[in-house]
Amino acid sequence: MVILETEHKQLNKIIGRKLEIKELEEILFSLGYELESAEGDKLRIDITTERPDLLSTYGLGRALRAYLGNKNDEIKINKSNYKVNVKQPAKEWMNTAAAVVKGLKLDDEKIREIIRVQEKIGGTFLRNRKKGAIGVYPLEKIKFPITFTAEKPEKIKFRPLEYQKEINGKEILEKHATGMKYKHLLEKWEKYPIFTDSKNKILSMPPIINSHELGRVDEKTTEVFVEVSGRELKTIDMALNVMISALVGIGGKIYSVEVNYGNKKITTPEFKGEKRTIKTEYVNKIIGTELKTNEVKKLLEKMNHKVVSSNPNSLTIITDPLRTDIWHDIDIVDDIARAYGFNNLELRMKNVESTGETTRSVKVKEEISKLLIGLGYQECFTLMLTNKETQFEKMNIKEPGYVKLGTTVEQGINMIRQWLLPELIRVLENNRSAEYPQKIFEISHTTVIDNTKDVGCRDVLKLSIVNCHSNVNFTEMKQVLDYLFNTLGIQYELTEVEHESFIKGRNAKIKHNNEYIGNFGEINPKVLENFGIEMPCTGLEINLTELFRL
Amino acid sequence: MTEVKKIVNQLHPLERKLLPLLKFNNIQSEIVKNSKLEEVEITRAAQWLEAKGLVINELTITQTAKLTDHGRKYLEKGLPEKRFLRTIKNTILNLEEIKQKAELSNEEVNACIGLLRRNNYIETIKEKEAKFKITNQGISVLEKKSDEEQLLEKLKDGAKTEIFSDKDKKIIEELRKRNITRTDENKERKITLTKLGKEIVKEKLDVNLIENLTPEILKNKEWKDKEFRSYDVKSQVPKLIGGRGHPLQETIDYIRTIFLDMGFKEMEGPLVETAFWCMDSMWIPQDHPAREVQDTFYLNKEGKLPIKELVKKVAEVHENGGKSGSKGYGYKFDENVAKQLLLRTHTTATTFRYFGERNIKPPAKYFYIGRIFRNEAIDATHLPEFHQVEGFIMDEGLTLRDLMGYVKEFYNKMGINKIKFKPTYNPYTESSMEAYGYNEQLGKWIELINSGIFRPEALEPYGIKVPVIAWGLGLERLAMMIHEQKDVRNMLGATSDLRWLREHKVTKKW
Repeated sequence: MVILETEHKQLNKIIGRKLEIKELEEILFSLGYELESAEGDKLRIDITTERPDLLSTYGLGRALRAYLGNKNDEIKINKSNYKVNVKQPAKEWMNTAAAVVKGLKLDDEKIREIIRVQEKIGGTFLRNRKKGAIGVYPLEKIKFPITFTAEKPEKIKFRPLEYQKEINGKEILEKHATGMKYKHLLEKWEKYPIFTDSKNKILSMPPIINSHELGRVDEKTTEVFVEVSGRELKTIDMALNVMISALVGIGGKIYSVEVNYGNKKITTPEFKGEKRTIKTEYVNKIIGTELKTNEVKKLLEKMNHKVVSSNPNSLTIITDPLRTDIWHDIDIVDDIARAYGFNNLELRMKNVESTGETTRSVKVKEEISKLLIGLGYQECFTLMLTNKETQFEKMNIKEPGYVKLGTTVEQGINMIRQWLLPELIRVLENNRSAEYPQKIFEISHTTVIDNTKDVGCRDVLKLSIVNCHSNVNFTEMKQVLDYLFNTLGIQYELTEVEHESFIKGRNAKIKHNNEYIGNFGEINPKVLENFGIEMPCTGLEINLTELFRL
Repeated sequence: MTEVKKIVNQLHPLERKLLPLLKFNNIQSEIVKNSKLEEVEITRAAQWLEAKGLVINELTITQTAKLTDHGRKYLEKGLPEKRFLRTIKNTILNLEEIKQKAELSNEEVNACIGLLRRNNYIETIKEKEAKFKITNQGISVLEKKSDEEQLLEKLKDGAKTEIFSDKDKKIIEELRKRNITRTDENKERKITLTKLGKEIVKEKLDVNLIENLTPEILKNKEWKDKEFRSYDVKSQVPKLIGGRGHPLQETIDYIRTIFLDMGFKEMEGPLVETAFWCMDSMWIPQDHPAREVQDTFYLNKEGKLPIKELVKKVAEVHENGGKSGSKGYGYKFDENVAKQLLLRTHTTATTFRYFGERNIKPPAKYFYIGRIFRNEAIDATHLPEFHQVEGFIMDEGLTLRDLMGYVKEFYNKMGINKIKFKPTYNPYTESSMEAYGYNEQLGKWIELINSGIFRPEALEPYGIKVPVIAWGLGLERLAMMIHEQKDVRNMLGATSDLRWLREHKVTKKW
């Protein structure tokens, strides 16, 4: 979600109708957006990320205008002689598209809107400037033709926006706030992209920052040069269209720019949608409606698509040139459904025959839980994410191989749990003020390394039980084990074993069919001390995946 | 039965024993000495009797000051300050000499110097080293017994502090700080019979009533001739701690039952996934923001990709749409990105594993309730892991209307009948929508279910030609709402609140 900050009156002017807040809210909701707040004239609207074209007052106004049945004028592009020459651009940042916009009436608020739109397109559609970046310059300060090229960072020298003096490309990444923020994008490149004018003055160093001298728009500016540069031409063309449309909303008239790549010349911007043929039958099959072709036509027009020809069964359209989210005819069908209104559709449930069925793991868990709850145990849910200190160090055992995590936002997480017992002991640690006896259990998954799997590890369903009270002892836990295995009809054997988490001579290894499936015993006081628990405990852990061959 | 008779009948054996004794003595410690009752038994009986209005309990706390081992030593040898003064009565000595002659420890000497200087009993003469000289005041003090010394005598066998003057009390307190005396507290209970109590005592109390009905009493039929003691049915009883299922498990079971009733089969899949199954397999673009480290836990390791043929088909739909009729994203698919191991960020990873590995044929209905992970910091409403519920239906002829119909049915089964839909965006479904349910109790719309129809690009690599509709919801949010728990940390993880888990109310779902 991205927020569009706009003004109610301004929006209504573009819509061409006075839309009350309530009505606006309902229309936005049915189209998939949300009026987050309305305070006086100020509106905040939640827009989903696939629609950067709605991130300006003009963009949203234009969409609502069409939805309410008023045609939008096509955005007119005037011919001009402005030229951008592309000369040995950085291989990571090869493309550019540009336009000139005249007749702007700017004030502080409008300048802020331009910057907001620029930032939001950069943040969403251009993936935080990874795919491209937008630059806006006052036309009067620069001399055409412009050159798009690249230079070694040390050789790039200019005064970046809102910085006190001239510094080089490398220094911008180290010292300028925006430079530091986007440093990761280009620090490994040999040459950094730059725009220069015919007097060889630097306009900007994309995707980082404009020149303070040549690239600073203020309220006196009425004419601007807009460029988008980046990796793929298709993407930056779209970004340019969206950016330009925002300027049209503040009175801008658009002039084209010729971009000369040496081997080819293109003229931008091009408000050219895509031609698609939409079959009425396809639309009805997806949505489940019985719409007629002419009804589909109306719905398409509500979504700003231009119907260029039609026959009884299909329509040929030119898609809205500002749309960046149309990959497949299905996306057009979705537009039609939104225009129709999801909530206007009659619900139905096609009968799809199948029988319900759960898994053996679920059944095993269910049966054992029932038995333990019957014995007075409280079920717990601990986190799968934990740390090796809890899982091994505090449990007084050596660190085996385990599933390590990379960078984590939350401190104190560095692995997926390998056994449940330490996590249940942590529950005791945090509940020292709750009444005793504390008898808890958990049945859940743990993860162990397994290089035979495509994901390098395997999930194992385990059961762990903990008793904690002043009279706790080995016998009490052994009774539970005995009860469980007897009622489940499973044979088991116990052997003595040395396990440092337990008291020596008071713990056992559990075997079934000669396979090691678990441990239980009195918890080593050293472990209790590590967790700050001053009440004796016994613990049990059984591998259910192994025991039941899950 | 008269009131008195009724009370007599309710008396516990301990009460019966204590009551007659109160006629002669009402001080607990003395009753202990003169009867077979133990202190704790008297305490309990006295409390019960008070609850019945038969006695009044008065607790008095008396403090007794006594000498410590130090104190007794000083009583014998004199207080350190006196010993200090005595050694320098006729001579000027340095610290070391005083210590030896007066047999004082370092601590004692240091404490003395402060005290003696404050009172001007000594003066320091600075030569090469500090030496101490007694003053005239010092000499006069030495001649008489100080208040402290007099008190030491008085406390020899211990004495109740209440008998001392305020001035003496202060000195005793000073001495206590110097570890010369200590104060013991002694609680005494005075049990006084009320008017009703006095009446009851007149009754015959040593009647032989049946306490617990035992197998012996049943066998020897003693109950036929005897009366049962009546119980005070209103008296408080200790709390029980029972075994209970976890509220989240209850919610899981509740959702599972809905799915099973509707004929869905349950799925299972791994917690650690390759980016391929978690993202690429369903056409999530390789540069999607959700893939970034701030959102996803990576293992910084590579896993294995499935069969080449499938990887190729998936790569194609990303690059140019393959045979799906889509333009594709127009970039070069990177297998290294797909190989990255991560903790699954949604259960849809398992859905697509089923598409890729199990050759599911329509008609089919599947569901999964599993844990998923997001690289987030922990707070009252966020955990880095939580449960997601997901269901899908694959069949010829399913439409947007059916998706909405099934979602509504699902809501209905959860007891929510008023719902509305809002279109949304999701990279692997089109259309996508959020379904809001109206919570009557809260009086507001709540978004619980997210749903959509899988995109052709997402299904094409698996040869699925029929529509697949799917929906999902977050379990914790639902459980928190059902169980009125505002902090998810009380429910899940090491910080689980055992008290809440034990005592939370059995809630009607919605």
